[in-house]
Amino acid sequence: MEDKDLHISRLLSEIEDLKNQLFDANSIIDAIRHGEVDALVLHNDGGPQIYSMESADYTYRILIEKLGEGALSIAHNGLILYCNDYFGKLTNISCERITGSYIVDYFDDPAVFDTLINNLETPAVKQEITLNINGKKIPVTISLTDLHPNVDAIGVVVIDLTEKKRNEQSLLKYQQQLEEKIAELNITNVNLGQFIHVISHDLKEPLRKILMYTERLTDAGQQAEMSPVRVIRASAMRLNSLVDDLVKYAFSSVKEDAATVDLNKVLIEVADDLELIISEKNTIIEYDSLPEIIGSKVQMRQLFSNLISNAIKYSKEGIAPSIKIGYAIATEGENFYYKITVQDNGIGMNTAHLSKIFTIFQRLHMRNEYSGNGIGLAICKKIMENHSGRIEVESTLHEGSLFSLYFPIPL
Amino acid sequence: MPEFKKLHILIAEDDLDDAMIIEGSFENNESFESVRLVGNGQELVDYLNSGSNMLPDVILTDINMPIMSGIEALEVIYNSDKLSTIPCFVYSTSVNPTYETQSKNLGVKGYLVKPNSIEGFDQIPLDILEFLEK
Repeated sequence: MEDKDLHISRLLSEIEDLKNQLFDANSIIDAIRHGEVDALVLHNDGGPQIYSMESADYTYRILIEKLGEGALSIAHNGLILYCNDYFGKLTNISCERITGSYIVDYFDDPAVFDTLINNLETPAVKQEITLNINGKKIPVTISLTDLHPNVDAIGVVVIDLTEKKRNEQSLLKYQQQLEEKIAELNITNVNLGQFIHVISHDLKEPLRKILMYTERLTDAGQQAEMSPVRVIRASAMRLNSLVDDLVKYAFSSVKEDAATVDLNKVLIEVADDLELIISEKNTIIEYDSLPEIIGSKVQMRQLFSNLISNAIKYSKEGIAPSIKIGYAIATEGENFYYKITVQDNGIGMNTAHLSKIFTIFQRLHMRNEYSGNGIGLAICKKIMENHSGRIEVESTLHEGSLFSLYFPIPL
Repeated sequence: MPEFKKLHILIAEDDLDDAMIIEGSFENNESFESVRLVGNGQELVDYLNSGSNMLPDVILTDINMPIMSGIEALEVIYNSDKLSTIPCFVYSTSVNPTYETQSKNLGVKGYLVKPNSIEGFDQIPLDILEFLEK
């Protein structure tokens, strides 16, 4: 009977123990349900160890869980206590499996973990490292924050750099392509320079000799208009002027070293160069104070020289040419330009022909009316393009023409 | 230039036809006492650096010449303390604006274009004298 009582009391105490264990287990389950537990670690001795956020705040909790970057909390030995959804997606491993594993297992180079832990004291330790998830390498920025003394854990934020690295690579690729293009352009520029050299010297040299020595030929007995020597000479002269113009045209594409060019000085120099034809026709040139631009001075001289000499050349018979050079700032959308206008009171042009005048070798007049090779305005157009600008024309037949030059204003 | 002083000119020209004509043009101009011809930029520099030669009052050089171009020779001249005070002139067939800019940047007194007629060469000594008077 005593045995029986003993047995009963042992069973009762066992039931009491089990009740207690059940209560513990239920509390843990409840705590897990309510999100108060981050991790439950079962040690070999069977006792559970609970890691939980102190004063677990639901908002912060959700924030971390739904954060668009990987967020973990780890123990000082690297044991992962918590892992958010994003890190699970990044590694393609479920968070349940990640929690309880060691963070070092996800590092491509395990030695990095020691470095990170040793530098923990430094505020906001950030480092670019490579994760290795079953052979798949992922570049990330990792940052560790010691949550001590509030919590005995380390907060870890993992930012995926895959996209950034990919962008960096394509940027690098584009840069490489760009550099190749620049190298190509430089070669083209050098070739152009050599081409200009060839036509400006090697082609001209024999021509000059033809001109010099045909002058010494006499063609006695021939009527002046029929004179073969005269035709040879006239043709050689024309070829010579074509070669000169071609050199200028080719040169207008050369990218010279850009410098600050004061257009007022350019105009003074051009007026000086053209003094003879300016005074010959009693030309009046008025001009506004002009801006400085960034570009090639030689090309600016060429540009204004062509426009002013054209205005004089195509002036009306018996009327002194009057040339007005104006300046204003022009805007188009978000772009600003120095707009320089060259207006004359000359013969003007039929509007139907305006589209042709900037094309090389296009002329609107017979050669015996006005001299020239039809290259001056083509050069002007090239020079403006070379300065990232443009040239436009408005004209009224018998009344005059207005050329507008647009130089983009650098920001 | 004072009128009593007659000038010695040193000319670098590789083209034999042109050399003959330009030599004649300077010899016919009474402001010039002597004309000395060399065949390229290297000969020009060698002549100037040789201690036995008297330095000229004026230098005239073509641009396109074998071995050493006129521009290269001018670079040597303008970098030498002894030679940089000699007034230099360039004349060339080329209308390439780059050469004119390069020459002017170096400090030449004038950039002349080779004429298309034999008579035109007689103008060159006159142009040089005009530049020197400026």
